[in-house]
Parts: sequence; C-alpha cells; structure tokens
Amino acid sequence: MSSLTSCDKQQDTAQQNKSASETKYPLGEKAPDLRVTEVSFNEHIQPILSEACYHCHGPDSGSREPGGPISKDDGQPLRLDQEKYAFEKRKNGKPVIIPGNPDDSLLIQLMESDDPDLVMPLHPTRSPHGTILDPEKISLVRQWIKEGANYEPHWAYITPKKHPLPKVAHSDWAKNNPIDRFIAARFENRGLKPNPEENSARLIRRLYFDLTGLPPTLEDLDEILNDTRDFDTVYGETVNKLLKTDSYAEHWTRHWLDVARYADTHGYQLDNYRSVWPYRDWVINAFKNNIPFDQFTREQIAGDMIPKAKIEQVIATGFNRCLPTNGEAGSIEEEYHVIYAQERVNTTSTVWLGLTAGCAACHDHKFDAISMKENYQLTAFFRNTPMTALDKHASDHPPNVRIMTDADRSKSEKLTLQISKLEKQLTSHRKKNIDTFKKWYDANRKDLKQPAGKDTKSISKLLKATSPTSRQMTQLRDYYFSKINSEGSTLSQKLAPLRKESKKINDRSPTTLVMQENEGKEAFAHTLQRGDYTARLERVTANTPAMLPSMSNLPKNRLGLAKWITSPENPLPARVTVNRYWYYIFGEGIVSTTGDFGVMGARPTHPKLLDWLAADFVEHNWDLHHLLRTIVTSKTYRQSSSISKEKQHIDPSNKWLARAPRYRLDAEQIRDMALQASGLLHHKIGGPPVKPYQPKGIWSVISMKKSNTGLYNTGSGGDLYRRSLYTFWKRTAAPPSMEIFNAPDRTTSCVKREITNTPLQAFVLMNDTQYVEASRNIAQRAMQKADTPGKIINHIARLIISRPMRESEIKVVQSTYNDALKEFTATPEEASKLIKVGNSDADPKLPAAQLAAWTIVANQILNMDETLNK
Amino acid sequence: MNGHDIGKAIGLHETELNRRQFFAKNAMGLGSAALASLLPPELMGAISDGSEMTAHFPARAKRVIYISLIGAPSQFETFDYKPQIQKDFKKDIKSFLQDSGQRLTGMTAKQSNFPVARSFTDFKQYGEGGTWISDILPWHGKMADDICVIKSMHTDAINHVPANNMMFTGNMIPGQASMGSWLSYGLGSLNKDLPTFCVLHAKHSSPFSNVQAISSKYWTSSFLPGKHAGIHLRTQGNPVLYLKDAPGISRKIRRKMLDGLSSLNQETLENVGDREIQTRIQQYEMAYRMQMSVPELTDMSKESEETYQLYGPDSKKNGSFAYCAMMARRLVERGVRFTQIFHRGWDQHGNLPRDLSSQCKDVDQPCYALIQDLKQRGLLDDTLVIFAGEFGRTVYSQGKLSDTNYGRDHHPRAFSIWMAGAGVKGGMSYGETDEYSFNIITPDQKVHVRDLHATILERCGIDHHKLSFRNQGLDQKLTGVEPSRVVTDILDHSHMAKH
Repeated sequence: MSSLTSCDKQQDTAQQNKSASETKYPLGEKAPDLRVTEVSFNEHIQPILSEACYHCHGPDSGSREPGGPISKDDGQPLRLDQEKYAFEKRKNGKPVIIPGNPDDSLLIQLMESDDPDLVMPLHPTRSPHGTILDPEKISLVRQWIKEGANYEPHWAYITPKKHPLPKVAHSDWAKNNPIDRFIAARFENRGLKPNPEENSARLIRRLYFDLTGLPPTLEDLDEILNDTRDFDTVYGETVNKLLKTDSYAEHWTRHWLDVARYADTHGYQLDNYRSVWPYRDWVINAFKNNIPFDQFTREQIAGDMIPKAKIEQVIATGFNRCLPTNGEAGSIEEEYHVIYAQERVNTTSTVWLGLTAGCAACHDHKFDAISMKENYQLTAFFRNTPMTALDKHASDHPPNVRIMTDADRSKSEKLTLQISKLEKQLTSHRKKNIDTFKKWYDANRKDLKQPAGKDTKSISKLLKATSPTSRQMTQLRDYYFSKINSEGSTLSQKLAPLRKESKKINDRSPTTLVMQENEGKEAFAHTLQRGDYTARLERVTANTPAMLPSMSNLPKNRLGLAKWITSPENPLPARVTVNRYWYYIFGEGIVSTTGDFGVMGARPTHPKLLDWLAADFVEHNWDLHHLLRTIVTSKTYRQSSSISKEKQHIDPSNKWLARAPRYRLDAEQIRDMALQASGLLHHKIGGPPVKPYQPKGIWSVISMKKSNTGLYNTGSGGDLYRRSLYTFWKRTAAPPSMEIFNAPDRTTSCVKREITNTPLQAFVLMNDTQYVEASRNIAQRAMQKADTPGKIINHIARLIISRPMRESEIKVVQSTYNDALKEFTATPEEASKLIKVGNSDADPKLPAAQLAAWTIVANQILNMDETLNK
Repeated sequence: MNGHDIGKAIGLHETELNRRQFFAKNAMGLGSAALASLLPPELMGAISDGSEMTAHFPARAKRVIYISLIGAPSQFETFDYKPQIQKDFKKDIKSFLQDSGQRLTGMTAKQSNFPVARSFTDFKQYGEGGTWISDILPWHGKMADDICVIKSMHTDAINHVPANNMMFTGNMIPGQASMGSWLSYGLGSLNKDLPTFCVLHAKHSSPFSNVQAISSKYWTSSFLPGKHAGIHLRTQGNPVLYLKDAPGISRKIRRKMLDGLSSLNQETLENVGDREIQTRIQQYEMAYRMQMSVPELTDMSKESEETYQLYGPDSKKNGSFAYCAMMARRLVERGVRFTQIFHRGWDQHGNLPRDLSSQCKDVDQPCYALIQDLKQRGLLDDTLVIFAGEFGRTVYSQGKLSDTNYGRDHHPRAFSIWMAGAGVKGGMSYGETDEYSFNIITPDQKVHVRDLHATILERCGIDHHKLSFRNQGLDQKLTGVEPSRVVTDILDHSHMAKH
C-alpha cells in the first residue's frame, strides 16, 4: 500500500511556487511600504525558514539531516523549527544561531557563503531540490538574529484575542463596524479608497443570496426599496429577518453538506442508496434554531456519548457516517477500518483545526508539528466502534437509529412489549406441546389430513421427505403451531396484526446512520508503517497532538475529543470557522487555504481582523447569526463590486477589499434562483432526497446491474422543483447540472469550492429542461403581470437580476424578442414545442409565439453574466 | 518574451500569472506548454512560433489513447504464456501461497485448497519479435510487431476500486486528479472546438460478464482547474450533456440569442470592469462552436466501408467497443490530447473460458484496427496507445475447478499490459514472471503503476517529478511520493517527434 495522502518529500517546487506567490508582487500591484522596523518571527522569518530549511531541519524526524559538522555531539541532527532545538550547541561548541550576533552565527555564514559546496540551503548544483535564497531574505534573517532571534509559536497556535482597532484615515467610513477599521487600515497604506455603496437593489440581491441562497421576491424587493425610512435601518431589519427564515437554514445547511461530504449513496462499487438524510434535516434544524457552533460541533462529533443523549443528538453523529464506505465482496475489513479512521481524522482536522493531519499517516509531518504517532492517536478516537468496515451495500448499515413521531414511538413501544409477551407464550407453549407436534407429524407423514389450503402442497411435500433437514422440520413445526394446534394458532392470530402494525410503523419511520462507541473499552490504534494496514508498529491510545493545548482531564474518547475541540483554550476552531464564513461571503478566506492553517498554509491577509472575529465569535457564545450580522452590515461588504482601472492595477485579486468581490454563484444558488424567479420553487423542508430532471443514462451507464441506484426514476410534481440541497446525491454519478457548476463530488470534505467558467455551463443554462421550463414560467409570469414589451422585459429582469434594465439593454433584448417572435410566428409548431418543455403547463390564454419568444428572452437574461454573479 | 511580459501584454490575473511564473522558473520548458493551455489558441499563435511548445523533454506523443479494461483481464489467457500450469493442473499450491506471504481477497481466503487452473487456450509466437499471444486474441497476433507487451506490471491494490483509483489517479484513496486531467493541465489544447480530455464508455457484449462499476473519480480533475476534467462523450443521446438545443430553438434563434447575450455581457464588462466577463463571453462562443463540432465528430456516416470493415462488424453499433475505438481515432485526428475508453466486464471469478473469450472478442479486432488505422493516417508515430486492466489474476482457481471451467481471483503482484505508438518499441516483450505468473523474476524490469504513469508523461515530454500542483498545502503529483521511473528500455529514442 502506498501513502494515504500524497505529501511531497521534494518540496522544491512547492516552495518556489510559494515564493513566487508570496514574495513577488503581482503585476502592477505596488509593493506596499512595509519597511521592517522590527522583524517578527511569524511574519518574516518563519516563511523563510519553512521554505528553505524545514524540509531537512524541520519536524519530520525521518528526513532530518545531521548536517555533518553541525550535528550535536550525540549525532542529533539540526532542527530549526522549534526554539528549544535551534539554540543547542553543535559539535563545534556553538549553536548555529547566536542571538545578537549574526556574524558569528553559522546559519548566516552558511546562507551568505559563496561556495556552492557550503552554502545553505543546498545549491541547485548539489541537489535537484536546491535553491538560491534571496539576499533580501538573508538580510531579514540577519536582522532577526541581531534583534535577539526571538522565536514565536506559529501564528495559528496562539490564542486569538481582540487587538486594539487600528486608527484609519477613513474614520467616518469605518466608524460603525470593527471589520471596516481593519480593512481600511490595510487598503489605505496601499493608496486605495473604498468603493461607494452598491446600488440598493443589487445590494439586496447580494444579501439575499449570501444569507438565504435565493434572490429576493419582487414583493420583498419592493417593500425594502419603497421603505422611506433610513436605509441602514431597513437594511439591518432585513438582515435580522433573513437570518430567521427557513431559506437561511437550508442555504447554510447546503454549505455544511460540502464540509460533511454528505451524499445519499455509499460511494464504492454498487454505490447503493444510504439513508442518512435525517442527519441533513438535523443540520437544517440546527441552523434554524441557531444553536451555538460549539454545541453544533460537539453533537456531531459525539452526540451519542453525551449523558442521556436525546435522539436528535444521536442523529447529529451522522456527520462521521457520511464518509464513503465499501461493501465490495472480498475486501479486507482491517484495511477499511484504517481507511475510515484516517478519513475521519482528515475531515475533523480540516474542518475544525485547519490541519493537514493526513500527511502524518506515512511520516512525521514535514512542516507542522504532528508526528506519525500523533496522527494514529487521533485515528484511535474513531476506531473504538462496533461498526463493521464493510457496509454490505445496506441503506441502514449499523449502527443506526429509527426515527419516529412521538405517537408512533409510544405505539411502537407498546407493540414491542405485546409482541414479545405473546412470542414468549408461544415459545413456551411450543416447548410444552412438542409431543403433540410429533404425534401430528407421525400421523400425517403419508397423507396430510387437513382441508386443502394454500400451504397444503408444500407441507405435504415436507411431510413426505424421507430424511428431513432441521430447517424443514422447523418449517413444519411453525406450520403446526400456527395453523393446526389450537392454542398455538390463537396466539399466532393475535401476533399477526401486531407484527403487521409494527412493520407499518417501521416502514414509515426512516433510519439514519449514527456513531456508536464500544462501551467500556479503551480507544486505541496502531501506528502503521507508511500507512500500510498490514505493517503495524506500536499500539497507541487516543490523544491529541502535543503542539496544541492538552486534553488534560477530558476522557480519551470521542466525547473528550469533541470537548477538547470546542474548549476555549483551543486556538484553532474559532479561527478556522470564522475564516470559512468569511470565505462563504467574500469568496476568499482571510486565510486563503481554508483547510490548512499550518506552517505551509497561506498566511492571513488580515491577521488582526481574523483574530478579532474569532475572539468576538467565542465571546458571543459561538453565535453564527452574530458573526454573519457583523460581516454583512459592514461597509466593506456593502461596497459596490465594480473594478476601476486603477484598482485593477493596484489590487487585481482584490486582496485588500477596497471593493466588494464579484464571483459566480454556486451551482445550487443558480438552480434555486431559476426556480424562485419562475415561481416553480416548491417550498418544503426536509425529507428524503428527490430526483429532479436529469438527462437519460447518467446512472445506468456507470452502474452495476445489482445496484439499487442503477436507474434514475425522475420524480414528479413538487419533487421536480425542490431546493437543490434535496437533490439525490449519487456519489459515483453526481447530478450533472450541479457538477458542471463545480459542486464538489462529496467524496471528501470540501471546505472550498472551485469556480470555473466553461462552455458546459452554457449548455446547462441554455438547454437543461429545468432552465428551459423555468425560462418559460418566468416569461409567463411577466406576460400575466405586464402588458407592454418594455414592462415585460423589466418584470423578467427584476425577477432575475432584481433591477430594471437600462435603455441600452432593453434595446438589445427587444431586438432578440422581435427576431424570435418573427420566427416563431412563421413556425408555430416550433413555438409550441418550446413552450411544452417541462412538466408544468403553459398558460393556454397566452399566444404561443409570443410566449415562446419571451421564453427566449427570459433565458437570455438568465444566462447573463450579471445573473450568474453576486 | 518571458511569462511576465506575456502576462503584461494580455492582462492576466494574478493567480494565473503566478502559476506561470512558477512554471517558467521551475519547470523549464513546461512554462510555455502550460501557458498554451491557458491562453486562447489564437493568442498563443501570436506569441509562439510553435518551437516553444517544447516541454521538459522532446515530446514523442502529442496524444494518448488509454484503453481501460475494467475488472482486470487474466494474464494467463492473454499475454503471459505459462506452460508449467498445464503440467501442474489441479495441483494444490496452498503451501506455496502461505510461503509467499501474499494476502488473499475475502473471496478465496477461506478456500480449503488452491488448485492450479490451466489455461483453456493455447499460445503462439507472432511477428519478428516472437511475442507470445493467446489464441483468443488472433488479431493481436497480426499486430505483434506494433505493440510492446509488458508482463511485469504490478500494483498495490487487491480490489477493484482502489486498484482503479491507483491506475487512473495514482493513489488508491479517491480524491486525486486523473491522468488525463494531468496531461490536459500540462500540455494544453490542440483544438479550440473540442475538450482536451474525452472519455468514452464502451459496452461489453456478453450478458454474463461480471461487471464492476466505474465512477467519474477516474476522470476527475479534482484539485486541478475544472476545465481539465475528462468530458464524457456519451454514445447514446447527446454526446455532450445538454449540447443539443431545446426543442423549438433553431440555430438562427440560438445565434440571435447569443448575439444579444454577448452585447449585454459586453455592456456589463464596460460597467463593472471584471475581466472574467470576457472569459464568459468566449465560453459561450465555444459552446456555440461545440454545438457544431461535436455532432460533426460523432457523425460517423462519412467513414468509409473499408474503415468499418477494418474495425469489424460491431463498429456500426453505437456504444460498442469497435465504435468507441473508431471514435477514439476521430478524436485523435481532431487533436484531442487524451482519450480514455472504458470497457467493463473483465472480472472473471468464474466461468472464465466463456466470459474471457467474449470479452476478448469485443476488443481484439477493434484494437488491431485502431493501430492500423492510426498507422495508415500517419498518427501512430505521435499517438501513444495503452491497453491495460487494473491488476492481474491468480494461478489457482477460484471456486470449483473442472476440466473445462474455472475462475481466477485478483492478483496484484504481476499482470500484463501493452503499449504502442509514439516510439514505444513494437515486437517487444518486457519483463518475466515465474512459472505461476505469481512474482516478477526480472527485478530490474518491474513496472509499477507509477512507473507506467512516469513513462506516459515522459512520452508526452513531461518530467513526472516536475508536473505538480499545489493543493491545500500539499504539492500534488500524479506519481505521488514513492519513487518511480521511466521505463526507458521499451522506448525508442532514435528520433524525435515532428512538431
């Protein structure tokens, strides 16, 4: 078995890549005035050392180099990533870094050496991974040593706190919201000014998409825009209103489903259906009730272990059951136990800790202080479970829970009692009367002396068997005691309806996959050589990495892990979470590597803002509403997104946010927008996944015959128009119209989506039944409400882009309409084909050619770049 | 002109520019090739005279066709001739297996004995190279001197899904970028009207074959930019999803609608200044062109009767392997970089004689035809063709062994594949296994899946050490972190590809 994760031994390209993006200022972007008055280890030195030195002198004990003369007397190799090792005396009696004295420090001497055989890092002629360090960087290291060579812990491992708000020139602009102070401070020293506020209609559209994933309805839009009160007040009220909607809960659930790698199938081989949607509904409820994020976290990691756990808390643990599982015959259990535990560690550490722990599956982490042993200690938390590795392709692969209404539950409990009582009676009756069975058996062997019934034939056959098997005998006994023996048949007749009723309740009560702990057992795992499940090294017990605050008294199990993650001492989860929320709103994180806060991850563009948001989040009891409200009411958020030539020049990537970001909506937002604008959206919350339109053959062409998701049976009625988070997600063939718009495949946890711009996206929006039908319904709504072409155009535009069109735009659209109308009038059969697309009926009162032509217009506006962007 | 100046000239975004700087700085020549993939071809023409299209090495292959035999064909009945198994028929090799330390799958681990299954088919030597080929692949015999059979392939995985992940993405765990998307990323496009990486699903004809599922993970771009993902050209319905205009929409109306859309977007571009709008305008135009080019591609009516005869009787059936092989040639002709044909049904745990024969019949003549067709059209010289399953099969029978019937379980330590074209030496057999095709006995000729990947990249002019992409803090590569090598012994270095 090869490595579990592909981490690179040879970091040359990575480092140069990094240096290219971090030390060179993008074209046209002025190098900011960052003359260094005092060198900070975290800001200036660690990036240089991690890039140039850590590969051989860093956390990985496996690749650490002795460095010949600079090894210690005991041969210990040099390690530069931690203060306690960096100042150790070497063979020559001196440490390589002598604080205050760069000239005497071997580190500087080697960095500055002209001799290609001596220089550090290794000269490119000596190693394919060699590199030549920038003189500016060497001089920073020199200055750092001169100033005392102070080490600091990695920035992300220092507990975040609220730094004083910076003083800014745009004090009026930034007066109400701390975010704006931090943002202004960074763009001002680059000579940037903020954009003016976005046009109100556009801003409201942006806000609706960000908070609810849907555009505003025309009623909402009119109400807000016609409100004569101060706009800030109206805006603030709108924010509060939206945070309380079901749409908000659904939208943020959808983000979370990416994180949780939620899907409706197992993901391997047969890729059968899996019932875990009640977990999805739990997430919706959690957002609906705005439960604090720390509680949200704990319940998902260990809800089953909370004392006197409610069923909802158990359902929450579906998070760790969303991973792909295998049922392939012949698979080796242990191999999959290893894979699953590692997958859960990778997911947990990416989502809450911003750590790429998976790197340490095969070797000590190259850059972050996680040893291989610590990785396996983390996997131990997830291995203490009775869950089998192979899922047998079952939708309810145990452990699971069955979810019932309160009435059903009490009914079911009663039934269970009654059934078990009767079953006991029947069993004891059978035992006592076994002789009567034997008599009957002997008497009837030759000829069954019973009135003919539906079983007669098969029973006669069983009776005549010369040497009946024990199974056949059991069948006969069952038959005798349910049909012949009078008390037995009375009991059986009593049982039958109870069992039927119980089955009925079970059938209407879904199951969902959950976590379960082995009671009273210690959680342990083995370290594995290069991640190979057959190559066990030492046995380790569950624990968290030493570089982070210790678990101290917490139990060493999943519940302990959940509490440890959300403890106030843990510096990571709050930062990682607010950063991900920032990314959801701004399209880019303050730390752009939203799943990697380690040494090799990106550094925050606004470290103090990130700390402030994290500290504020925890102060406010992990309240997501508070966090979102703070972000979307900021001036930074409310800016217009237009890009002046000057800003394009100074800040092409919008790192400094002197304008609002502009980027494409997510797959689900685009589809849901079309449904909302067309009035087709079916507002129903939760329940089993649904199957909207999908081209033929997507499932069948890749599925195994035995798979129960081999054929896609398109749904009907409202199921065609539910919000996209309810669409059935088959892992090996995800919904194509979603995938084309970069919905992740849900194989692994996704904390950042890609955004592409491809011709396939054009095909979806132009030709997918869903969008053609939506376009016609949008056209239809507009024709029903408005009478002149101008009004119809604006009605369509307002449904889709929340604003009326400009004169110049109306001219273009009107011309499209005229051309289309001319053609459809000439070819009425084509018009009628177009308006028949989809399951909804066209309004028969509307002239077909006109409706078809307006459908083209609605589709044209639906395809506009402005439509697809926030 | 260096990458920086080019960027300035055309106003590239920061991130793209950095990627380019990275390539220019680290990957030597690859910079211009990767650059080519990011620029519209018309712009590329303006800044390159073509000689810059060199990568790390001179590229022998401009295009690749990868034939994936999902389920893993047995080497004993195809390319790895083992006379000893005829002699040892029914011999129980339980103790041999125990000594080998090889793990067994859950399907046969509990068998009480492990009898050697002889091959139901004979072998003959073909061509000047004397390549051993089984009688159920007669057409392969005719092209023995075109192909190089590698009998010393090996992998880490013992079950289908991880083995296929390994084969197509370089890692058993799902989530890595696929081989085709790596090549698309590294080499860029040759045809502005078609995707760079196309995937075809061929139907297998026998209803009895044991069929493994396949998943889009095998052609995903994963962390690579999405445009490098394989585009599944379907053989039923729309070849590209949603390609066909909705009912009632004529080409004329589509054109009008797109013209208007372009004006509207142009206006937004002027008002907002976001250059991504320009990309969108171009992509809608690409879509319009694909609505023409894809039907042209999939319209086989102009293929000659001789061609159909060459590919065999199945070639007129949509979706058959023969149809897909012909389609692969059409894609290659049109400059598609990487074409991958998936053919399922090669998992013969039982009834091997019946089912393997029918599987071989599906692919035998079409493979011969594809190679000859490429040769006739002068394309074989710079097109690399690979024919491979995901692992090998066991010498012992799974389940009941009779004189005429048997099955074989999975075996990762040795299997056989072939490669052809792009300077791969024809008429060659590479690597040897022991008498049970259990272990490879030519230690310096072992070819791991990673080595195969390295070799494919090398043929395309790419150094596998250098083709990398940074994702979530890791430097990702197709060949991962374990050592891998280019199998130079099978490569002809005598002349360079024409550019």
